[in-house]
Amino acid sequence: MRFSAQILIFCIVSFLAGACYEDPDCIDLRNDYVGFTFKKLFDRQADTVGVLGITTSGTDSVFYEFLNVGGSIQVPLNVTASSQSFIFNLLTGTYSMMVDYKSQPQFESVDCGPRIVITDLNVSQHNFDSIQITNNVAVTAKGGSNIDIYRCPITNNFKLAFRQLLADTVANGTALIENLHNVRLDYQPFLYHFNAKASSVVVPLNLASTTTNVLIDSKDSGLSSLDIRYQFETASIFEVCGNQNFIKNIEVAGTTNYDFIKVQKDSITDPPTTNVTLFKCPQTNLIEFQLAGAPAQGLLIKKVTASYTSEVFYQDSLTTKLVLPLNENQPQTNYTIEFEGATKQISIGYERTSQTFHGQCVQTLFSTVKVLSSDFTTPPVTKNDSIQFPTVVNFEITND
Amino acid sequence: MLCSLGAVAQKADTIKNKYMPTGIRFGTDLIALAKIPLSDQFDGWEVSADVDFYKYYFTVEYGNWQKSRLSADQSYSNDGNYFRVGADVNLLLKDPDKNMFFVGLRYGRSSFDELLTYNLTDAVFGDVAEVRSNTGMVSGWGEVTVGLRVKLWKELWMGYTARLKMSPSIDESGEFIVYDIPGYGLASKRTYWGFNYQLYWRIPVRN
Repeated sequence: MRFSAQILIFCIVSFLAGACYEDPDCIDLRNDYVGFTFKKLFDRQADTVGVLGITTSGTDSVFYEFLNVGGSIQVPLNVTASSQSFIFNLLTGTYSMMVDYKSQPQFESVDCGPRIVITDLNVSQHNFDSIQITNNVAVTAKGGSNIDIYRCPITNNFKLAFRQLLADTVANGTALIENLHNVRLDYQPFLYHFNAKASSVVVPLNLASTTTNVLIDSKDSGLSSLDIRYQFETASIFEVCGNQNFIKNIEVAGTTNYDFIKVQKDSITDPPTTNVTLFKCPQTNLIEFQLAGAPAQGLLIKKVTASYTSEVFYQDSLTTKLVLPLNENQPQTNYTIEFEGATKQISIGYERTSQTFHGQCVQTLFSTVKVLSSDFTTPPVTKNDSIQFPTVVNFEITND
Repeated sequence: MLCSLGAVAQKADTIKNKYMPTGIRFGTDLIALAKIPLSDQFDGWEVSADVDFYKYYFTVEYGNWQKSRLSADQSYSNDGNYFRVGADVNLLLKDPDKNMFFVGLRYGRSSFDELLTYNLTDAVFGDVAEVRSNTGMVSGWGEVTVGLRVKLWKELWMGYTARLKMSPSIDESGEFIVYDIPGYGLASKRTYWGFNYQLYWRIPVRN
């Protein structure tokens, strides 16, 4: 009896203590979002899509307005409904989708409030090329995906790259970032890459023709007009996409301020790979003067002129250095530098040799560069007696 | 020959007698009754009965369970009946009073209704006030039990039953996700524990 009574008391105390654990932990997440992932049918990898806006039934809100979307996006679901329509305004067109689901509240505790559990997500209608449901339980605003949206291959995305070659043997040099005004196509009224800085551009070739003219307007390199010629091959790679015209045998001609053009790949791929590259040869004639004692914001230069050209450099400019072209046809170049309140002359002498880089760039190389004469009070200091590209400081000059 | 046949017959009678019930106990759960005045969120009762077959006890339990939760933004309530059937094995065979320390198994089944009202804040689709109900819900579960039955005075018995409840089947036909199953507890828990502190009156049927 005594033993039994002790066990009874122990168990009653345990019961009262255990009552504290009745309420579950609050789950502080709203799982009432549907996640979409844009993908390419071609490689089933995530696609980057230009989204103008996504709207959905039951609200005037616009989601992901004017955004480039790569990876997954999440849009809220109406927890009081059992289906919801979505309108996707994308750069490539307008698409719709109807998503059905089962929404059930789950009572957690009086402190937590109800949690909404959305399951059985399903797509009952859409006009995308293809979709796949990967998870039928709604996700949170923080991430997750339910529906993969696939698109058919884009067969006319032509990629053009800009490259700067160096005075070395490294093929293709380095990416050249162009300050573009825009890129225009002869068959469309749109401006592409407007006021963009880019080392490559992608533009759609005309699928209704076997030629497209691409006009590149660059702040740095002026106007370049490229005539792209190509042929079509019709094929059905994916059943859902039907027959598509694939571009092959790309050829290019035109007038540019670049040194040469090279076709890298003569067919279009998705995602795009570089089809044509515009190369600039290394500039091996640029001498660099460091302005000693110049303030950080630069010294005011009225203008710089050279003895062999009428071109004016650095007109009314604040700068800490002067990078000027040498005369490739003479063993010396004379510069006149107008500072504020003083004009100085400097004469540079050098030896010249010729060398071909990358099979296309016949360059004059300058060595044994020296100051022949100058009227600077402080004599120019030689830092490097050979011209290099990218430039290095050759002389340090002081305006005193 | 006759002697040996008689011995076998007597042994069979002894075994038959051993499994004859000696009494039926009727009881109630004191904790359920005690919770009624102590908690404004619970109302319920539970009665039980068992009958012995040697060291085995066939057990039936039946109860009612009403719970409610209330806050400014939401309220929840349920109301349902449940029963459990099963058997216990008494491990104290040599106790002259037939006091019990037992282990056992149960199958529990509950039929119940639930009601949930709530307000939901939604910045996109607007705030909502909803009333959802689950009617005619049914759930079943299994239990492992352990406990004591102690003779206090004459035919008055007292005891407790601790039960590990497990694997509830969740009815998904309702308008919201089942929260609390009468007789089991929180539906979100795959295992749950319970405790009864019981008072019995035994009606002997033979010595």
